[in-house]
Amino acid sequence: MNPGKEGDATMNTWSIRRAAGAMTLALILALPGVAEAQHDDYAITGGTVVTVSGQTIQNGTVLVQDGFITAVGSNVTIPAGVERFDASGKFVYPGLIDSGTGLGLQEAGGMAGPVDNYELGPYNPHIEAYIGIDHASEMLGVQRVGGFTTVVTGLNGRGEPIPGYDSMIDLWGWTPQAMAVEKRIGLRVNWSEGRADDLKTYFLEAKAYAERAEMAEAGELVEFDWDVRMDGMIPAVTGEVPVIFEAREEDAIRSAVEFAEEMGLRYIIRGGRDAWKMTDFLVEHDVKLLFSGVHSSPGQDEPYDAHYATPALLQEAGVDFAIYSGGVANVFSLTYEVGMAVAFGLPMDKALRSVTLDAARILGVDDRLGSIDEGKVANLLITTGNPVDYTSQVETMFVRGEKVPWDDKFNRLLRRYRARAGG
Amino acid sequence: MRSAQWLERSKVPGLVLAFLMTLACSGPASAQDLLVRGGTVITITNGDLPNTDVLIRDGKITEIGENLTAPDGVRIIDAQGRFVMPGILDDHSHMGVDRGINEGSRSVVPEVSIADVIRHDDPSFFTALAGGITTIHTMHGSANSIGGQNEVIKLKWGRPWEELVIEEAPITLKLALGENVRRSSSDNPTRYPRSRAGVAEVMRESFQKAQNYLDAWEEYEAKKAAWDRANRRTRGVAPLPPKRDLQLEALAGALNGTTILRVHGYRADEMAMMMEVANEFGIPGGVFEHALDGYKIAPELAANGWATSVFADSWGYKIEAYEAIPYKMLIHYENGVRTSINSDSAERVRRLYQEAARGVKYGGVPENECLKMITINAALNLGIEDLVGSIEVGKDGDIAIFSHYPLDTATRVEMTIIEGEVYFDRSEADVAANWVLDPDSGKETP
Repeated sequence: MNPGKEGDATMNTWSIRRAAGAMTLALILALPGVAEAQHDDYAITGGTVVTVSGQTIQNGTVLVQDGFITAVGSNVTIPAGVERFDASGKFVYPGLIDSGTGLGLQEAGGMAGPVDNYELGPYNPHIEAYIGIDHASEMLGVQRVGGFTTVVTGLNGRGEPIPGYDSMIDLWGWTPQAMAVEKRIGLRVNWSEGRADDLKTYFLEAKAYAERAEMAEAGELVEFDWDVRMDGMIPAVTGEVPVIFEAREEDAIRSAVEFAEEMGLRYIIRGGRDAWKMTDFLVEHDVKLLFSGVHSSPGQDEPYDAHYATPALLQEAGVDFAIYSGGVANVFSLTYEVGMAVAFGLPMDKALRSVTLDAARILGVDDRLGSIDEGKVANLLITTGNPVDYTSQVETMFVRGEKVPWDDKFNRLLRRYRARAGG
Repeated sequence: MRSAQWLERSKVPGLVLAFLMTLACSGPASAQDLLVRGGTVITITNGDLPNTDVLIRDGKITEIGENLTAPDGVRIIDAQGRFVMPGILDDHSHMGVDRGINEGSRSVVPEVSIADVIRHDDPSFFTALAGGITTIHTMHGSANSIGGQNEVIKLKWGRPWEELVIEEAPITLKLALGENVRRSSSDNPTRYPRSRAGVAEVMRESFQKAQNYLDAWEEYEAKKAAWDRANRRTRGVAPLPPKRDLQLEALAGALNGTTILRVHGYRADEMAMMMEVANEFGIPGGVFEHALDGYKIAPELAANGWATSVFADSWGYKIEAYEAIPYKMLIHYENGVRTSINSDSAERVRRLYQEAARGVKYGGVPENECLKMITINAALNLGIEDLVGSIEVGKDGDIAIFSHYPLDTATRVEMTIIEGEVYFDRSEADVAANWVLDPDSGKETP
């Protein structure tokens, strides 16, 4: 085989893949040959607009054009012909973000067939979660009851060391490609100290590969052995995409941070069960944390409210964090975990940011998502109140400027059976 | 055998209690006296009463009103600005069961009892108390068509087992339908029945045997009575009683109305089957556990006198749970199906009030109706509504004090009281993690 020829082919694939990681929203909206969605333009008027990034606007207007927010304020000029959506007496919030789920990769649990959330082998850094998303999964539509427009999802079924790249997807769209916000939002590493040596070897190998690949691209190498898995590692070891270390216990979090620093990685810690015990460490190392488990039971040596209170303690200490569910069917219930954190001391504005702007920022998509600002993607909710509040109802949802049809499984069944009697 | 134990248990402490009550009511304050002063009292059955006191004497609520006077020596709890609601009931739990949730060797085991395998020192009792729970129904699992007798206890953390049991609670019998009892997760099931149709026949056969057993006893009692009356010289040998059968005795309770059926069911068809079989034997209803698809047959549930005990919004964790919707509380409410919200979990039990709030979120069930689902409805499901589940004179002094309205996002349980004794107090510095952040807690910085 002609090594030069193989190298050429390799570089093509590699370049394309690398470019894919940096693709803009506009580029990934459509599959080749399919026209982009036709967006209706909307002016959402009269509601209390909670921008999250700045001041809340009473009787505000949000102008949505071509899927983006083009104006926000109390004095917005609405172009002729734009459909008005009256939100008087209601609230307008940005769509919520869950920064860790398994959505779209499994339908009902308990059976092998509909569960598609792991690959064989310990290292699969070339795998991208979005490609296996079932856009018609009943599990996606129902999440709107909680106000979730966007989630991070990934393969993690068996906890292998590197199960692949998590993807960020919007929960409305006709194909996985159209739903993808970022195909590679982060490389998931299921960290444990016991895996440190093996992972170090693997990451060092990947770093060396990335250097050779760069030289090959510059034409400085005659021979370059392309490897699908090593190629997958490149965005993670070059800092283009963060590495998401799954780590829950104190020792694991500490060693994952040390590993990431030693390797010079851009990284996020996800899990963080013991984070409340080590806030100084997290602040000192400027750790970005995705925390889950507000509702988990305390250990026998822990205060009864250790995990209810963790977000408040993290906030008080100045840790940079967001809150995620780790769920599939019940991602929508994440608002109740965030609400419980509020009851145990987390300020409400931070609570809301932990499922909007702070999640977007930690994941590197705050240029597009997480708040109601001009230029951002129009993922919006019209609600009866703060979506984090236990009893608030989400009444209308826009994803990329499209008004999402209210035909999710919960609402279909509600309509059908409520009509039988009583209701 | 359960019924004999029951008798023994109820006799002795009952007498002692009666004696102590007489003594205490006329005498000085007891450990079970308490005045909860100035809170908004959520009675559940009689509206919300602002700035109201609740007096508990010897463990029972004796007065509800404004500006009550605490008798000498009675401890006063200041609940001003707080919300005083009845202690929360979780009517589907497995807490405290020290193995033996399922006797899985045979499908029909009504003779076994949770009372034989319970531990009083399960640490999850304390974390549940911290969520305002005072009473739980701790149950057999769903691996058996007829799985055994359950237990109703109060979470008197630190007390011996005998003091936890609610003596007056009727016996409840666990039955199960659907995927679990079919052992459908097994690749090679070897236990009959394997099908829903088979489960129906197992139910029929079991109740028929129990009916035959009751008939045999009735016949014997009649013969025995006749024999007792007959001439001593000519009556011959006394009739022999039927052979005593602990299984059939337990099942017979369901037929003669002394035992409450608690039937694990997910799908509408299996619940319809159970109602059909129950009607054949004149069983006047019962409670469906989880009843995830109950909303599809809400009119039938109401018409046949069946109540439910549900998850608020869990769904999709298996195919049986794939049609569960969080609007089920709304549809049950609109159809007059009595519904409680349970935890089935040592974790979720800690925040059942938050589960109840979901009834408001999903379709706007009225707030007090949602609170009923974790108090009086659960008490009715257990047949202990005369004791617990609301704040009324004469009921047990079981109270949860909340910082805010119990369905408010900011709310926390500050104190949990059972029969006039404080079992959880958040202001005790060693129990809570974040009290330093909480200026309202009344605690001091160490």
